[in-house]
Amino acid sequence: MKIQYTLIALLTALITLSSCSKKSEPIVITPDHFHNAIDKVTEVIIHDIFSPPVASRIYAYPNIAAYEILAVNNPSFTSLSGQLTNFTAIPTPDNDATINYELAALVAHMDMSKRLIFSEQDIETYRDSLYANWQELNEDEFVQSRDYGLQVSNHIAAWMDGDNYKQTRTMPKFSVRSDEPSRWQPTPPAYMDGIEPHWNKIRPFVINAADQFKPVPPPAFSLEKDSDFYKELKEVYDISQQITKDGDTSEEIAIAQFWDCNPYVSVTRGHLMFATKKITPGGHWVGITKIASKKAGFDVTNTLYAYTKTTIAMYDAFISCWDEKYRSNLIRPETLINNHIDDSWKPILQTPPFPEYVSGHSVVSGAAAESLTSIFGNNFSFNDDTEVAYGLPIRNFKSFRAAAQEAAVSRMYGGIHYRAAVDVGLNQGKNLGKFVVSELDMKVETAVSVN
Amino acid sequence: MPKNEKLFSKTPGNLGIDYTHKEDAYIDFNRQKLIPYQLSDRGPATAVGDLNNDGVDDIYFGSSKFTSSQIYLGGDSAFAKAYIEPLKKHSKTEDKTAVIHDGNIIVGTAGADFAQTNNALDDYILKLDDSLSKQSLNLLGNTSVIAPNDYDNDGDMDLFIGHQVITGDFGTAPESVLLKNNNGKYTVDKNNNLGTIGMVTDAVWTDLNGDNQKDLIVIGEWMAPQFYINNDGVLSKETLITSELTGLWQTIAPFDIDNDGDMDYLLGNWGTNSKFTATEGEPLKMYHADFDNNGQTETLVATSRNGNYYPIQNLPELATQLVSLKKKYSTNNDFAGKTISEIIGAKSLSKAQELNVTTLKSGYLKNEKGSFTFVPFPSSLQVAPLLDFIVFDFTNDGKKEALAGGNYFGTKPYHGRLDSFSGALIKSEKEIIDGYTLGVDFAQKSVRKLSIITHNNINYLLVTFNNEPAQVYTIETTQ
Repeated sequence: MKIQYTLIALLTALITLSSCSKKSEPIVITPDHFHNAIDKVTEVIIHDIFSPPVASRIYAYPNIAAYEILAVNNPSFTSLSGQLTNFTAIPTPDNDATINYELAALVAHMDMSKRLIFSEQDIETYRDSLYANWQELNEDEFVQSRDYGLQVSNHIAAWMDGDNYKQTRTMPKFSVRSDEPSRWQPTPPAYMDGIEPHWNKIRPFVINAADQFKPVPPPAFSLEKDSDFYKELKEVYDISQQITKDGDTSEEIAIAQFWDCNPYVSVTRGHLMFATKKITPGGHWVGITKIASKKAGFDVTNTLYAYTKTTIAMYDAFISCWDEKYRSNLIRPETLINNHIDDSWKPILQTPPFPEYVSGHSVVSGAAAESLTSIFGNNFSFNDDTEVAYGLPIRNFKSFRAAAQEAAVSRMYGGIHYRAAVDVGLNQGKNLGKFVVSELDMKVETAVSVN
Repeated sequence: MPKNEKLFSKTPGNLGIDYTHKEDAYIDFNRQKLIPYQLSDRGPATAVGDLNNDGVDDIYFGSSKFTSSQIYLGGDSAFAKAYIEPLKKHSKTEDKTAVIHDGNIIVGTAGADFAQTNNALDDYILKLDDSLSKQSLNLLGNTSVIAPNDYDNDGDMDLFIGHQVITGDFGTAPESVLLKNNNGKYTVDKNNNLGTIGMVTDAVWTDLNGDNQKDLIVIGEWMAPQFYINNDGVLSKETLITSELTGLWQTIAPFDIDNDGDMDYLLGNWGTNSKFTATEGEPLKMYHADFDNNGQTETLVATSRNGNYYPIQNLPELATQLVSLKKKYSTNNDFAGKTISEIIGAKSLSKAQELNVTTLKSGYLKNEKGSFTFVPFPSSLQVAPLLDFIVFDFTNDGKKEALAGGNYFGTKPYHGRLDSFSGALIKSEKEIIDGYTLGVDFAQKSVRKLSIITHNNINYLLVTFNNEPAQVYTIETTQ
């Protein structure tokens, strides 16, 4: 890294010497700069194997930092200060400073991302190439905008520091008690510990408390053949048997695979264990946000508005969902089917390492779809190519809600959730999403409709 | 005894004793992720003595938390369970240690799970009236040992109470105390302030200097044996050993192993068959501090390799608690070969409390004119932690032997179960008989207490295990 800095310094010196005067060309920031920066974050999240709830936090804070800088300086948008829990107004730049706010927003975004992940290199490389470029174009504007961006990033980081994330890192692990038949226990093949048992203690952005959208409890646990619970268990098994018979080309398997979004799938080959890594559910919806923003031809500020609102909704959705997961601590279908129905059964998707009820993907998809619908409208069709990089096809959706519906039911096809977790979860996500949309005042509606 | 016949055989019907200890499901590592071993699974208590004043032995078995302890009364044909209903009232506590004195049961509670202020950590006396009334000792703590002795020589029984750990703060030494008995009322003896001795596990009252007053030896983990000389009721600490001798000491028993007429002391330690290594020059180290500044302390155990100290736990394990390490080392490759000082930072490490273990070997303190030299046992006794000794003339030859039991499973999977000690009969410095030839069934089980019970004037060996049924053995030579 040192060498890199030295090189940049040398280059700068050379450029300065050869041109003999500083350039002052305009620095233009496009939505693609942000799309790229967010794609980098997604790549690092995959590389560092952040769990879905933690990933939702990594996506949200950089977006808020960038949005806030843009919104404060754009009359069509409203600042989030006072709207998100404990969030106060960002610092204002010096009066005599020349600030390119879009540049400052991008700097703040990258700087916040860097703080939230482990492998900083990817983001630094991207950042340094941009910095070198901007430095050449207009050093004054670059330096002042960068410094302001970093100042805002510090402000956001100080606020973020109070969200209880650090404290939850060291709280007790989930206690496995295999003598309680309904209680979640680690699942094959890696038998990982339950992740984030204390995520409900994370400070939410918009909802008032983790249990504000507390769902109804799951059907009472019972292995009696005529109980509701057992029927749902059997349904998971029967669906799986049916679609396995139908083969890999069946629509249900395609849907299950498409929405897998499991960041860490353990693979065992003999004694070799490795993992294939993918995006998280949040990452998928961030991808959809990008697709929609591009399709709608959004400018920088509108793009950040879409990202920010959607990632805020998903962040709160994870808190709400995890609150229920470690309240009901419900056992996964795989454990029960293996113990009581078919000991060689494997779900089509790998069971993720946390309790069953409610389905995370359902809650988060429900919330994300409400946010996106509020921005792009109800009948916004799109071609979802987010998963192409992971060997999956493109799927077309008529609307965000239709996509969310499919994401939810995919968990049943995948054999990792009962029906109640999917139906109730989607509903929980929708209600939460609607609440976030109604509470947040971000975009000033223009007077067009009045005319 | 005829040749080929084993010294011990299981007593048919177990003398009516049907006690199975069941450990509760609490896992220490879920709360304190980096501690080297558990402390919640050190029970159960076993105490033998006459409870109902009929002149025959009765037995008290302490339970893990939220299960009932059990009392067995000695009868004509067998032992019989008694006080089943009254004992249910007292089920909340984890009864780690107990002694029977004057028909009462003095119970030391522990479990390393209840908060320090929770009254489930209050030691108590069970009086053997109809309802088993409970007298609190008003002494909160994770008690590991109760050692009774009238040290002030006023005719009533006083108590040494050893504490092993402060709940949630592994590594900080709790206070251990002397409780003075004033007409049946126990109060902390302020004139004999023993302070924070260490992570105490066991203690014994024994005359060290031949003045006919019993002195006190206290042992524990991450500490050396401590000697307190009793001068007419005032205890003063003295150094009676030549080497440093810090260990993970588990049990102590007086036994004249060299048969020279003065008392030696058997010491059970962790053994050398684990991932821990320790020598005087390169001790096992444990650093104790709030490394991640979250208001709670952590421990980091490190072993030496070519003079450099490395953590026993790998990066993913350390990062479950010290999350910032994931950022510091984004690959295992970056982490490999780093010393504990590089990982934690020399500055942060220097601020931590450092605890040492210079030997993991079990052995004995050989008494040479009042000063003691440590002599390790041969390797057959180092395969697992030794957790209890009992000294008795098992061979009925007029000379006592010491029977040893052990094994411990409260470690992380990386260490494996320390379960391969099958017991041993220590006859002298040179003669030690392995358990598998004795007829005892100790291997793969964790022995917690060896007791002699007398029934119809015959002595039996009672063995209490953690998470296993108790066993009664007939001693063939006494038949």
